[in-house]
Formats: sequence, structure tokens, C-alpha cells
Amino acid sequence: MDLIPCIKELCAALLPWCLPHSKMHIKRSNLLDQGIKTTTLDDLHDSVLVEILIRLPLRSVFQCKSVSSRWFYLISTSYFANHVNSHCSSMHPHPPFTLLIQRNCDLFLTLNKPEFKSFKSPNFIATPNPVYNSNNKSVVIVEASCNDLLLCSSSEFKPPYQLTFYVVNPITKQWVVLPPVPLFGIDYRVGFICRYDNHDTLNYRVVYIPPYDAESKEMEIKVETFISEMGEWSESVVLCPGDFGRRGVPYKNLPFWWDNSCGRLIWFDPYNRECYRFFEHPIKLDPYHAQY
Amino acid sequence: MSNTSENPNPSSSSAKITLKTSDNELFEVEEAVAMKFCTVKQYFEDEKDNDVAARGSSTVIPLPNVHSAVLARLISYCKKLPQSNAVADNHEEEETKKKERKQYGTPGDLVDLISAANYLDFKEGLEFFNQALADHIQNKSVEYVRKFFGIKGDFEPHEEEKYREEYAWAFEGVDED
Repeated sequence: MDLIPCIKELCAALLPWCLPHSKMHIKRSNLLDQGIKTTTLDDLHDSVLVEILIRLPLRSVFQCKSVSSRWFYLISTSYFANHVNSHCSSMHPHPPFTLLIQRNCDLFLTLNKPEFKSFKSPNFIATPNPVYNSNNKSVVIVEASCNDLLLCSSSEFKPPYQLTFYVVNPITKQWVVLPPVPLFGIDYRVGFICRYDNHDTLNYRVVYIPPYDAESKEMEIKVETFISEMGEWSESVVLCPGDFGRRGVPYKNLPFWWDNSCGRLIWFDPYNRECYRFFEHPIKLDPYHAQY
Repeated sequence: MSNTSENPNPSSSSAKITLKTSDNELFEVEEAVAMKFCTVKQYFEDEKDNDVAARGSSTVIPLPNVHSAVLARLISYCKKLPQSNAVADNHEEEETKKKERKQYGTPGDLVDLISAANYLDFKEGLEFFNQALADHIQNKSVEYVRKFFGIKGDFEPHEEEKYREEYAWAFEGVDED
């Protein structure tokens, strides 16, 4: 029983004497064979392990998350995400991008690699709350994008009539299904904003405006805002700002719509819940340019 | 090599510095090589401040966290430092670099090299060995990574299964172990 530690000690004592004679040999052979192996991957400091993991392709990173709770924790931190970003921008002359192409029911996305990866509609993907059965083909539409997330929708034009929004991360292929919108109509308006709060946590807002009669000015209209932290739609009432386009474009955490009736921009702040109003920003544009 | 041109004092370019490893072996290395290890550089500069005469081989710098076999490899790496760690522009070049990185031993060796390079604050080496280890891990199964690096999976089976379902795309098409 006591012999083994003794032998180990003896080896350790002899090792320094052995080494100078076998230097050429050491260079080629495995350090482990020399009996001097001391460090394992789990002995490395968090910051060192992160430096290794950020060099993995994304697919491997997501696999490695399930290696152990320590790896899961390290990869889940915003420190890790920030390091991946700065590593990518320092190593690659061209920043990473995602190109989305829609064909029939499937969305396709391509990362920096020259291969197309099919990104199937959500009935093929495990979602927290699947809304389709397999023989029900619904078309998924990309409505908006903001900060690398997509807002998609699919509508049901036969009973039960229903419009469902999804917030999608095309890189990790995660789909979050939002609860069905309270008032469904085909001619709706939509906007999408996502941003990080002070704690580096992502939150988002989906602005959904059900169809209304754009001709009747001075009328109040309903605006439904989905608040990610609460996980539900919240209704507010604002004065009808006129007729404007269907999809809002995000800029500085505000969705902007183009007003068709009088050539102006309208923005609405989904984060300022005390002051739910439409703001009008008159901009001087050449009437010919206004079409573009 | 260009190493000498970086030296502010060309006359001392041939100066040697003695490093003492954890197993009490002495390594006499060129100053230009030793200065790549920031920990050594710092120690050397501190020494210099204390005693101006204490220069070159008269100073022995102890490295209690580095084994001689590991230091020998780091020094040999220093001597043939690759031109750049930046990602290659074309596929062929990247493959050549990958092969080059593969020559630096098994994943276990790389962990030792990374640990030593981190202790020595040897940035170029750390970057190189980190990438070499990442090359080994990528496209390997979780089981392989655990087995190879002696990591114990501490998730509940149902937790792990749930995660795998959610990220099924990440688990498709891994290399054979």
C-alpha cells in the first residue's frame, strides 16, 4: 500500500537527474509519459479557459455548454459573448454576417461559410409552445430585425384566425413564441425593438397595431405592446396619427414608420410606458424622393 | 532574426539569462527570447533597479510554476515564432497553420503549455496554444471532451437531455472520437 507513494517520490527525485540526458527525447514524446503531468483543463483559471473557448466555432461552443456546469456558466456570461465579439473582429478582416433567404415555408440562413443552412419553420423545431401540427403549413414571414434578433410572424387565415409572432435568434436557432395577439386583422402594423439593459440582459418590445380606419382622423387607436420581461401584451390607446406603413424600421431604440398620407416619419417609444404617444417628425424631402 | 533589432541595446543582444524551473533545472537562454516572457522581463527589470551590476547570467530567475520539459518546448516555440496569429485569408493557408499547430503535442501537453505561458505572461505563445487546443476540441463530442480532459459532467441526466433537445442543431455531425 505504502509502496506506491514511495515509488512516486523516488521517481520525482530521480526525474531532474534523468532529464538532461533525455532532452532530445522529451521534445518528441508526450509530456504525460514523463510522469510530470500536473495541469488539467479544469485547473486553468476561468479567464484562461474562456480564451480557449472563444476560439471554437459556434456549434462547438453550444456543445461545450453541456460539458459541465462550470463550462455552462462561463459560456453563458456576457463576458464570454463580449470576448467572442472582440476576438472575431480582431481576427477576421470581415465581420460575421447572416443572410436570410425565404423560400416557400422555409427560411434559409447562411453564416460566413459558403453553405446554406436550412432554417425550417417552427413546426419542425422544438418550441416552448408549439402552435402547429405537422400537416398545417403556415408561412413564416420576417417582419423586422433589431440587434441580430428577428421578429417573424405566421398567420392563420382559417378558423381559428390567429396571428402569432416569434422572436428568433438565427445564430442559435432559438424560437420564442409570443402569445397570440389580442386583436387579429390582416392589415396590421408592427415594430420591433430589442436592447440590453444596465445589467447586460436582453429585453425586447413588439409593437402591434391592429387594423384601423386611417381616413377617420381624430380617432383613437389601440396599440398592443409585448413586454418581454412580463411575457404579455399590454394595451394602450393613442390618437390616430394617419395612415402609415406596415413595418417599422428600428433606429436608436425606436421603431420608425413612414406615413403614406403626408410624407413624414412617425415613431413610437415602446419603452416609455408613461407616455404612449406617437411623435411626428416632419422632414423636408423632395416629393420625388419620398417614393423611395 | 528580427528579434535582435527589437533590442534597445544591440551590444547586449547576445546576453544570456538563466531561468530555473520547478524541478531545479537551469536554462540559459538568450535575452531576446527570455524577454518574450513578460513575467521574466518584469523580474529582470525589478532586479536591475535593485542592483545595476546584476545583469545577464549572474542573475538566476526562478520559475517555480514551470517544469523543465514545458519550458524547453516554450523556448523552442519562441525560436521559430510563426509570423502572425491572424486568421489566414484562404483555406489552404489556414490548413497549413492548422498542421503547424498540431505539431505542438497532445491536448494534455497543450494544457501544460497554456498554463505555463499564462504564468509567464507570454502572449503570442498563449494565443497560439489556445488556438491549437481549440483545434482539438472543435467538432468533438461532449463525451470526448469530458473523457480527454478528465472533466466530470455534473448535470442531471434530464437537464442534459433537455439542453440537447433545445440545441439539437449544435449536436449534429460531430467527428468520430
